[in-house]
Amino acid sequence: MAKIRKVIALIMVAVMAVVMFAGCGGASKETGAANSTKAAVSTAAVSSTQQTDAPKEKVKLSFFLSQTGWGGEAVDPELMAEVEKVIEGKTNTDLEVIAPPQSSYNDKLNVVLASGDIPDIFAVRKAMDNIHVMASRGYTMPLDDLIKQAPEITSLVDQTYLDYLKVDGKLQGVPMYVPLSKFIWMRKDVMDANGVKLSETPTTDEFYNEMKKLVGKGVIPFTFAKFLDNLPFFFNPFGAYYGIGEKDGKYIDGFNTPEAKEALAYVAKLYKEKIWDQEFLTNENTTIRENLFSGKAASTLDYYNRYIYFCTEAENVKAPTEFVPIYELKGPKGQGGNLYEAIQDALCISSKSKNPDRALDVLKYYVYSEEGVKLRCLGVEGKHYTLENNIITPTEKAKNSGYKCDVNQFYLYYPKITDFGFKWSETIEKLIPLQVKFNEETNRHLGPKYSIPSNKSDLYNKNLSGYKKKIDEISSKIIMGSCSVDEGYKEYEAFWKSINGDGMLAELNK
Amino acid sequence: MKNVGIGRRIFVLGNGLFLILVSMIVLIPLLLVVSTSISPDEVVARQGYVLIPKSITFANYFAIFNSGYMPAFYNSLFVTISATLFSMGMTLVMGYALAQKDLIFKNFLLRFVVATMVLDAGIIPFYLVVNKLGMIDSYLSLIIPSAISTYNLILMKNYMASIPESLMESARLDGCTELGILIKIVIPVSIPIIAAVTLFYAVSHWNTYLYVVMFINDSSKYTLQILLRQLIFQSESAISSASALNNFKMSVMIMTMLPVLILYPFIQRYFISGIMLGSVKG
Repeated sequence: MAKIRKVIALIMVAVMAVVMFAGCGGASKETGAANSTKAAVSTAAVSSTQQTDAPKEKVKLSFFLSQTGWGGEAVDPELMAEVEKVIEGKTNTDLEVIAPPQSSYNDKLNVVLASGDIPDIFAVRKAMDNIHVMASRGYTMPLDDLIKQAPEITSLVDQTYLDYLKVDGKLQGVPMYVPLSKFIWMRKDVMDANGVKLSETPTTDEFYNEMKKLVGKGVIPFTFAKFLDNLPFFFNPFGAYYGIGEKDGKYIDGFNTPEAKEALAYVAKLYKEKIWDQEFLTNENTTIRENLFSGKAASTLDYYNRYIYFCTEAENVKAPTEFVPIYELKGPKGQGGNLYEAIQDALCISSKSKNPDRALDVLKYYVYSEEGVKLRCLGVEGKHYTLENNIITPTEKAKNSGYKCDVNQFYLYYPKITDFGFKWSETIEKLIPLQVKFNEETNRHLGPKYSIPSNKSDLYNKNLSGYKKKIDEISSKIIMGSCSVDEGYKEYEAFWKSINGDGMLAELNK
Repeated sequence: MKNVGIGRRIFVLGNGLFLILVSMIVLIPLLLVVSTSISPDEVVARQGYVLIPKSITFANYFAIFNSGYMPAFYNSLFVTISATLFSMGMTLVMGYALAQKDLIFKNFLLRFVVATMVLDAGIIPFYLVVNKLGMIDSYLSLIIPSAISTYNLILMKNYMASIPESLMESARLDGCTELGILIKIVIPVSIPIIAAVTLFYAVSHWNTYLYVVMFINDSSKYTLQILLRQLIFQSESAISSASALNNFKMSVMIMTMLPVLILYPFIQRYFISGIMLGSVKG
């Protein structure tokens, strides 16, 4: 009997183990780029030799783009499928869309790429930093030859921005958005009520003196998010750079310069005098925006395309006012510049793609054509929105799935669209000319932005994340007065030594 | 209370005050969340959080219900029920087998199982395995790979090991098969641990987020946690211009925890007792 029990128990465990591993030997379902492109192998030769005007054979492509990248950011699967259908029809492709939630986009992309299942087309966030990693790991395909067949892209995107996405002189992606920048937005009602007079480019002293008038007036004079990589706006007036920058053609540690110390001392003064938001270390982007449009704060640092948003949200919460820009602060030596983020996201084509030319066709249509941009920003007429009396109205389904029928979206993409083919609401139509003015003006105030090649220094690659964290930590300590500038920099120098910072710069400058 | 001394009274009073304080610490944030979720947007934006709302609106809840909540809710429900059933089946069978004193290679198997608690290969190898099994974009990827939690398995095995051997011996003498013993004897006397472990599994599968993101590509298969996180993220998006009002986030929080909150009081007593019962014998 005991033997029988032993055998039965063992069988139970074995059955369970077998169930757990069931399917190991089975043919796996074909997914992802590698597999999806298998289906297209037979057509690859044909498509690569096709003339542009010859009808192209239908190919399968995988497209990895966040859930909010499909028609006015609506996340309803049926609405997303409508957009997919239009792209497929226009480019004669069979798209396998992988659309992870925006919040977990990078996690999923990294896993998918590391697993070797590289999608034909994928978007890379913080591209100026990450494109080097993607290229060095062999995920991206150099686009130099392909881009020659795409005047639709090269005529729209300035060569400087394409250069940002080059690794070892080879283009690894194309920008998804126009270059982004931030400046200070101020509430006019608070300024007027307190006699604050600031030009669009005041000096650091003027900014300090005028903003001081708001202290103790029941409003946060300047609200700032916890993201300290926004500090360059206050470094630029002093000729400092927040991170590894360039000077006279050589890479330098921009954070450890007399100018950077001066900039931090200035920000610390703003904080100490309660001009700077005392809660900034816990502020999300949403917090600072809400602070501003609701009137809790008098000013904040945000993207240039926020004007219509601030005006309409302020109206919604019954705190309407005009919003005015401060494009840059001028420092003691006349230097300045807004917070220039340059290229944020880029679209890449897989190094394993069997149909890169067709993948580029999809990008040309969806990202760089007027029709594609309208599709991306607004979705499909009749599904995402309707046009009645030439006025655009979102459908119920779209409205309930995060759809944004928002003119601001258009200011983020190439090409510039002036004729939408319909009218926005009366309020928005009134605000558009000013928003367009801000969009153009911000480009005249761009601060510096340096792209550091990640393949030049192993030390840099290894220490980049720790370096960024450390400068954020030291900056926050100095700003909040937990330590003096000298004490902060003493700690920083010890850190710099510990990561062999000089060796890192030497490698970068080799 | 007549015969109770003054010291005892002060002690009881102190205890009461302390417990009230602790309850307030727990309750006030919860009340704030509820209150904010039913306050109008502009009131929260301008006046901040208040414990008692000045006016009430359920607009945010309607917005959630209209934003694909129900399909995602059904997806979550399907995954939770099927994954919990499968997990329980696996855990019961394996727990029973490992509880047998004379199981061949018992120690090896136990160590093998426990090793998975400390040796985690990480998400990329996990993804590769699921991909090779052909489970990407299938609910099977949410049900099978995470079928057994080692912690729950050990609780189950320990509880079953504490059942008197004589019960099973007498069943065998009466001619009962091993499967019969498991079904007719072991399961009926293991109800407390089964209830507790079922709850553990159900909560864990209900809250699954990472595996859904990693293994599911078709957004129509996304579960509630993904939808609600996405709604919050959309309102926080760095470059888009969605309105990001806290009351919407609070409503999302309530909706996320509501199903578990409703279920919890009914099986709460098993929650603690299950752990205690399972932990007696090692």
